Amino acid sequence: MLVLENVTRQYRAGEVRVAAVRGVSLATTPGTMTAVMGPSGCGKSTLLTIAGGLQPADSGTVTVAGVRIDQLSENDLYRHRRRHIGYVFQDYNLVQILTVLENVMLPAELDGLPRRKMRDRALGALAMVGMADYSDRYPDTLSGGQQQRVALARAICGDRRLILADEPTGALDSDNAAQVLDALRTLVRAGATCVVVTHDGSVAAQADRVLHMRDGLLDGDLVEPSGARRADA
Amino acid sequence: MSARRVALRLAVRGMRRDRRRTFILLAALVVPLAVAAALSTVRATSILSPETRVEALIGQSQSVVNNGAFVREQGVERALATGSAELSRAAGHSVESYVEVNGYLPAAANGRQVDSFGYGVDLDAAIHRGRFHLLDGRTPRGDREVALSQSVAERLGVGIGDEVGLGPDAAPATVTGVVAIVTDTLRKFVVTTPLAAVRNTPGAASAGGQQELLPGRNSTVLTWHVPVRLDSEALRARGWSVSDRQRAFLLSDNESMVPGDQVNAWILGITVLVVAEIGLVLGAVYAIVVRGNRRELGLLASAGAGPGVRRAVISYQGLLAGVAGVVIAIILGIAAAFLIAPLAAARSFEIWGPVRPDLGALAVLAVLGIATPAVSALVAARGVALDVVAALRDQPEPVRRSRRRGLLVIAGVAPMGIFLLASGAILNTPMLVLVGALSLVCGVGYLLRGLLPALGERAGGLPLLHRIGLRAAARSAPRAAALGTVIASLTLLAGLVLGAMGGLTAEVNRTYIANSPDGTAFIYTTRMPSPAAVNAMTDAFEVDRVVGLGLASPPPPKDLADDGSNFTFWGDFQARNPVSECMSAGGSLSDGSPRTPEQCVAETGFPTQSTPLMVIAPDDLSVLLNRAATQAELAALAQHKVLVLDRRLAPDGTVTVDAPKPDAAQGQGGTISVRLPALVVQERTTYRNLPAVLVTEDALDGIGAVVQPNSAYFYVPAPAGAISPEQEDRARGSLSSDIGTGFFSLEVERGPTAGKVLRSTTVASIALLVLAAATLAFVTVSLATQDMRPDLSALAAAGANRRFRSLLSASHAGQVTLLGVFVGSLGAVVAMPALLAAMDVGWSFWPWLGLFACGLGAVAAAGLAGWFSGAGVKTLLRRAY
Repeated sequence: MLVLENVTRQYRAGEVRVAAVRGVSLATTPGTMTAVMGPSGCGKSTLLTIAGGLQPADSGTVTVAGVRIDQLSENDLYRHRRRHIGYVFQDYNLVQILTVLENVMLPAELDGLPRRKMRDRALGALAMVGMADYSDRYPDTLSGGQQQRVALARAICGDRRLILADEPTGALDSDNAAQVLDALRTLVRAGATCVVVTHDGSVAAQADRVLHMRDGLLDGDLVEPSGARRADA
Repeated sequence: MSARRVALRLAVRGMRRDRRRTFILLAALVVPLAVAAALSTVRATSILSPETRVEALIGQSQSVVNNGAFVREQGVERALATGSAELSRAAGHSVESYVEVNGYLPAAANGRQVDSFGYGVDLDAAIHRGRFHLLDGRTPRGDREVALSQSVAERLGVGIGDEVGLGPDAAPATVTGVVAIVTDTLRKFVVTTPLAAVRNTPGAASAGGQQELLPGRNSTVLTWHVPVRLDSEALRARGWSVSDRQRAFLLSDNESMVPGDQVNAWILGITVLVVAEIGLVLGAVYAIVVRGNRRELGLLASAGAGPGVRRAVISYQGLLAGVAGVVIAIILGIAAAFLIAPLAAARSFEIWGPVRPDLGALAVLAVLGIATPAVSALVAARGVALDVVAALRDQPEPVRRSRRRGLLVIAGVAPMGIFLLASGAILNTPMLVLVGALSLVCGVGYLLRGLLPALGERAGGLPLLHRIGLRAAARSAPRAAALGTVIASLTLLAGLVLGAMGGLTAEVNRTYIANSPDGTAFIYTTRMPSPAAVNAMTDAFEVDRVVGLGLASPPPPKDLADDGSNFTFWGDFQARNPVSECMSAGGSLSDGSPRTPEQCVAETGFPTQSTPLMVIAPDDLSVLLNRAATQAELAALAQHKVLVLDRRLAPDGTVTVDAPKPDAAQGQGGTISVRLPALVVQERTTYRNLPAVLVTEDALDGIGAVVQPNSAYFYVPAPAGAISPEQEDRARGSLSSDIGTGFFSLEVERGPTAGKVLRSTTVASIALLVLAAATLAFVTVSLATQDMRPDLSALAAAGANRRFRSLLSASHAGQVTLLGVFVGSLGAVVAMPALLAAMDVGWSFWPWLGLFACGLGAVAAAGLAGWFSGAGVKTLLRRAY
């Protein structure tokens, strides 16, 4: 589902160039959750944004659902993102002036799909994360955990097969974090591929595969397969 | 370091950190201030000092004297020679005096002739210093030398060293220079020596032909300039009229004081209103700044900074923006005035001299420019009395809305606006109407703050783009309402300014009576031009045919004139018309005085007092009517009926024409009246020269009339476009070379000059207002879109591409601007009747088109600003991740 080959990315911090990602290669298996762990500044969020098409790599290739997204035009890239990639941000990134339901339907609406057709799917996604009752509320009336679940519903709505989550539980208490993780596991069981960037060991414990990143390099699999997967099996 | 200095440093850093916002804020402030500074400076420069105006009138003279009776008695040429001595005799002592000759002095060259005015003065005499401005070359010093005004030189196509012909005999004179009159560079005039002027002015030179000369072409005035003040009583007793310099000052002051003050008041008034409204936007922007800096302000509070210091961080930003804005605006305004003033002077056909800033107006602008952002920031800074803990956690501040205050504002503003509108209309004070209308619009703007959230709630059914755009406006209702109010006020201002200009233009056009259709010409001659001259004139005008229109007259008198010669003119047949009947009805005015032709024209709506019986060749009828003549019209002429070009001349199907009996010229009185069957060929004419009665030469026998042998009209249809000044001058040249100068009048119809000035001013106003509306819309939307950045960023995260974000931002800006344009247009519709009543002028169509252009310009500019602002959000996302 997601294949990164020899991906590099540098930043300029004042006069200094910092190599955030240095020749990383990664391939995920459909129906698995992969956790990427590492200290702050190691490049794991940068790696995820490159995988999600939010920013380009300096070199290397990025393939999502069989398409080299590093070769797509800007408009094609946005369209591919909307159809194949669900992205969950640490700070939710919900549009505050749209209702919960409208936020979940947003990618489909941007694709020009009829609202009536999308409504049921969006409500289904909200039901999956336990937020169906909040569909008419605005994001700023919800708690952080509720907003993150709405963000998750938006990520999964429309049968996207690749879910990228950047510290999805970073701003949540333990109860809300557990709910979000449950929702992610449910998606994986349904066949989605999930890559989670996290500091949190309890999140990594839910993953089928855990990778550790340091100074822009992936050290390799540290844990396989996870206890959670064994439990699922 | 004191707390205030910390606040100042933080304010400066805040402005430097967000350079884009600072730049846009400054632009919003600088644009109107710079325009006002430029306009007030140009206006101040355009006002000539009293001394300059008096010098333009009489140079350095202390007394200006003349004696018409003496000149008539002596004859012009002899009076020129003996006038100074006679003046000394009358004064009882030796008087140093310098003679000036004024009169009609046409100049000709290259087959063209210009009907110029002549000055016969010694330009090198110190007493005339300040009257004429030598633009090029040198002054004329001999009787065969002449200086021309720029206009005459251009129309004749001559320059220094070329030869021109002066007067009826085209006396040769060499052009030595180009001169201008300080207060008027447009005028057609020539300057030569007094003797040359006397010899070449038609009235002074051709004594034998004075009977045939047209009125105004036969008066030559001699004036003596004296460098000392003379005893006017003693001179008056001997028939001399004396004007002194003090009287010139009084005349000059009366002519120029009123318009300048009004223009300044309007410039300052409108600037105050525009800048005050920008203050509303700045207040909304600084409120955004306060919200955006809540966490930093919270950190300051946690470090011990009290509310005063935290407020100072924001209010210093406003103060600094004001100071910088004023400095930039005044520099730009004065620099612009240096560029504009020479162009504006040339456009006004005047010479203004060096640029002079209006220090009073600049001081007002400076105070306004500094106070507006400072007060806006200070008011917004009240919001820093924040919940420190919530600010540090970056939690949103609860929105406080005072419904009661809003209602109070609206309840106060609406009646005040209506009261001011009505007062302005009743007291004939347009400024009151303007302020009243702006009050109403501001009230509606305040109402929008409450309406927008309600509209946002009901936007669920709209397409995504417009739904988000409207919800963004609803969420930032104060900011959106402030922007909408500014746009609405500008639209209103544009509407009222254009409406006023349109009303004035319509009034000028309504009261103007054209001589003939636009671009055509009418010629009246008191000598009959030869067929060759008519052909030459036809060629000069570049038309196929010039229509000759004879004058039907009674048979010539048998007696001879006093000098023993035959009469050259003995009256013609004139059809009775509403104006002549109004005048013959006698005086019915309240003071018992008889009605003037102008009063009767105004009363009856008929364009002229004179409706001659004109003799036309049937072949020429189509040219005169500017359409193919019908069979009925040609048949009527063949049956010796008359054709009338206005039904009011023949209300019962007949026309009554009157002419003085031939002997009436000898003072024996009597009138011949004839009633003629008529065919009305058109219902009404609006032209002064064309409500004529037409007849063929063959029909004159039946009337007992003949064609006047020495006088005739000629109608010249418009060539391609209209008759140009060059064509006019060539025709004038060919005609004067045949029948002489002063024996014809040639009038090309070019519409009312005042109307043209107003039209061009209206176009300039539209351009300026479109520019102002577009600039302010661009500036304010650019600021407003910054407030949408978090949403635009979140949309990008959810997969909205750059095009969608740009469209969204443009849609949001367009919606708010459109709302403002709608409210402003509505205000203009409401206030226009009051304004037109205040100015006592009527409606016209063009201002509404101009208003539409302003609105379109504002919406387009706002849309563009939104588009570009929205496109910039991708950078924010990249920075965020």
